[in-house]
Amino acid sequence: MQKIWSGTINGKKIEKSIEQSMTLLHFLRDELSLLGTKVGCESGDCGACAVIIDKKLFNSCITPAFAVAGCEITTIEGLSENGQLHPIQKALLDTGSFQCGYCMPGMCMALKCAMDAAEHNLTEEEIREAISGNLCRCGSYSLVVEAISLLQEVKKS
Amino acid sequence: MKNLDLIGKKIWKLDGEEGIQGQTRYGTDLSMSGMLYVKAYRARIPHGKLLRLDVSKAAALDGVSCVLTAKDIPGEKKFGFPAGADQPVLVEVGGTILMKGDALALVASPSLSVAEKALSLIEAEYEQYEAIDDYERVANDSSYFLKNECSGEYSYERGDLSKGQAEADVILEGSYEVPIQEHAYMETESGLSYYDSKGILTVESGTHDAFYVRYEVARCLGIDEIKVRSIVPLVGGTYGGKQQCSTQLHIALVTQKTGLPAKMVWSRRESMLVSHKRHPAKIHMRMGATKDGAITFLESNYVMDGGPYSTCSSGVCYWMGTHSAGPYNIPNVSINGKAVYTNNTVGAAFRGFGGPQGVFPLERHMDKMARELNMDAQQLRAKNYIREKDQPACNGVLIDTRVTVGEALEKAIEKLGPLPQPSTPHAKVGRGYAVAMPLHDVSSDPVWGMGGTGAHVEIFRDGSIEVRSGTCEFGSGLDTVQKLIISNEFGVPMERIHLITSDTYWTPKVGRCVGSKGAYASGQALLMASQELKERLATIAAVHFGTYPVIAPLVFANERIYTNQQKRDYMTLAEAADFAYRQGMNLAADSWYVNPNRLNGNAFCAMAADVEVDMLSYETKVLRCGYVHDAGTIINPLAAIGQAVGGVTQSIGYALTEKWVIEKGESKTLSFHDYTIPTSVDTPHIEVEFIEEPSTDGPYGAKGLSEHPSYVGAVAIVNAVSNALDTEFDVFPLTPDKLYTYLHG
Ligand code: FES
Ligand code: FES
Repeated sequence: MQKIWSGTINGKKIEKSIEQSMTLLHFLRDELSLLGTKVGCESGDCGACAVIIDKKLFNSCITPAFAVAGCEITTIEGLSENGQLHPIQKALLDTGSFQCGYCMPGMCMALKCAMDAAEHNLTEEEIREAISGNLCRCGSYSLVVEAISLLQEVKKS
Repeated sequence: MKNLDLIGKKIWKLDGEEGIQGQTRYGTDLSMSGMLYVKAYRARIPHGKLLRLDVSKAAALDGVSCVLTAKDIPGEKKFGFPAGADQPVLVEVGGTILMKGDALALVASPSLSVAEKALSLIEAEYEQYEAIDDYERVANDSSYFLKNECSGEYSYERGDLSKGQAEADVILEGSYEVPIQEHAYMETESGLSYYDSKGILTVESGTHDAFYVRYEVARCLGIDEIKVRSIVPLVGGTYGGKQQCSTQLHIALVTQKTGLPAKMVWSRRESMLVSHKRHPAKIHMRMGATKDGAITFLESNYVMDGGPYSTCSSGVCYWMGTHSAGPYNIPNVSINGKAVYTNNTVGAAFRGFGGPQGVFPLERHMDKMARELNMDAQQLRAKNYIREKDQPACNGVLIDTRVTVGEALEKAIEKLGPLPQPSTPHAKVGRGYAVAMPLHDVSSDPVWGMGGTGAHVEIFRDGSIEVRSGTCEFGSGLDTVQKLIISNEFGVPMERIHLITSDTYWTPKVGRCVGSKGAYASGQALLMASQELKERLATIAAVHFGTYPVIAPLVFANERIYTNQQKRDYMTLAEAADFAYRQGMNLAADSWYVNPNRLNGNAFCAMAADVEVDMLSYETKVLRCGYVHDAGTIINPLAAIGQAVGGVTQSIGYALTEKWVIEKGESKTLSFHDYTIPTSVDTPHIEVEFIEEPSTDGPYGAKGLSEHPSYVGAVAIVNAVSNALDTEFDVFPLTPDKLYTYLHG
């Protein structure tokens, strides 16, 4: 059955008629062409599809779209501002922190969520914890940790 | 050799800015209007005869565009690389199912949910046979087999084993088992096919070789290769696993049948069920040494499980053999191995290609031998290292470089610092290490059509440069490396170079990008084409400066061509290109690099690791890793470090957590929930260092790079756990349950 979904995605008000049973992942990708959110498992195990909903991190593949209607949703497409890379993105790029890049949109969302929520600089352990739900088979974790640690240091000074 | 402007500097990944913003389009992201979703109906049993297949209800379902079975295939009904086409595209009625997940029928619909519904309406009936699943038994019991042949064999003998045994003071035997490993790339197999505006059937899909896909698609569809175009978008991980056809033939069949675009994306479960794996292997090893640690002989017999289809088992089996004696000079050697057919998962290429299976037993055995001799394990290795000009235990190879293996191991251990104290009273810590000397790191062996690599370089009239290369990019940074090389050769900034890759329409042919060969072979092809263009530019410069016919050596920098090192007199590259244009001179060059017909024994690597085992939970944590690799000249350090760290991380999973469960040909671990690959909290700080001993034949002295951490990673960790617990672990992954049973029975 179709129903009107309304909410905010990347700062834009969206209203769209979609199937009631649709997951947020398919809503984003198939209905809104926001293809930056990736599909890795569709079972909540890999974090490739992670998005931020009202400041919390969710795996969009196991989130029904209508469960988060009315919420504020940020996807990777909403991370860079005015074509400028977000500092997290820039840090990951400068450190060469990724290879195939497939996990990176989800990884960026997880990092942003954790960094926004924390009042202090994240420790190495906290950075690892923040991305512990994001699988990267290319194995870039240590480089991501390095990138974010560097970024925080630069910010501090 | 490295007096270069850009080579060796840290450069952003070219596709990086797009990738980090989620703008990169992978196979899973492709779509077209009017597109059909394709789903495969798969065999539910691992072995048997397909008696009946009823697709009528599926075909009659509203919204289903077509249902295809084996009889709808116009061309060849089997595919497979490189040993031969032995895998059915779709199993026909009356045909034999050899693997759970073999495809039986395809359904296509504009709606994914209709396609999924249609699958549930297909009915199949089987006559089930016993699953041939015990690969060791297949190797030893002539009455138990799936196919009456092997999928791979290796044999190497030298010296005299009995002499080696007589000289030995200690003889040590051991049996080892190396497990299956699943590639688990984050992007599952996917592809889109369509007819382009000229009626060419086009397939876009993740693979290692666009040209191979073109060949298989044309054969399967029964059309000429000129009617097929194959494009490879950025691949979301492969590590060797996407070499064979996966979705390509199925979507192409649907497009041919319906004329419509067709897309297929494998579910994670499907990917884990059907995709190829690292071969498991069992090894029996005997080694003899004198009291003071000189190894007198090595005997190794092994068998690997290749599953039901041949793919590249022959190569993996061969290369496992070439790794079996490692970087040691052993006078008397006998190595014999085979890969056999079973109804288990298909064994095929996975980063390291048989290397990890060869290195594991040897480097475990070296540690055990050291204990037996009451000798330091590093010292025992050092005593036996191969030297320059030595003949390693493999035919056709010569060590033609400074041997850096000892240095690599010393540095790797140094990186760890002192062994830390256990963090709790019920924890134990230990250190382990391993070394390797891969003999095929650049796939310079011209087998399987991999020997030749083409490149096309053209300087446009304004001095910008177009490069065409058939190589594929799956995250190793190969695109960046190729642009770097051209930028360096002509002194042109990266932004003024356009690189077109892996599109059979536009790019020259290459052999598949495997075995760490990408940068090596394509780099050479690009250098050859550049050299040719530079010679033509030198003629132009000689005319310009009035020295013709004397042609002076030139310097290419800042988009200019200088006549001398002092960089005084110059013409711009654009001026030269414009001159060429007006004179009707060609500034496009095509090259064809042929791999040297030999193996390379020159890229050494070592890893050291500290681990802590919690004796209450039996969980093992890797505390720190040091990885040191002689990869020759490093062209792009950022990408190189990424490859090293990535390979080590995959090895941590292989050693500790990645337990593939398969019983009677039925895989049980078909999700990330059940098959646990390392996460950020399982991965320690990994320190990497490169020793840059230039190779004689790689571009700028580069050597192979990507596969090497896989050779040494897992065994270094298992050695560390063995040391921590004072127990010899000859199998892995060392999951808590395995550790517990190993220790307490
Ligand atoms: S795709 Fe959502 S967690 Fe994997
Ligand atoms: S960079 Fe490839 S999966 Fe993370």
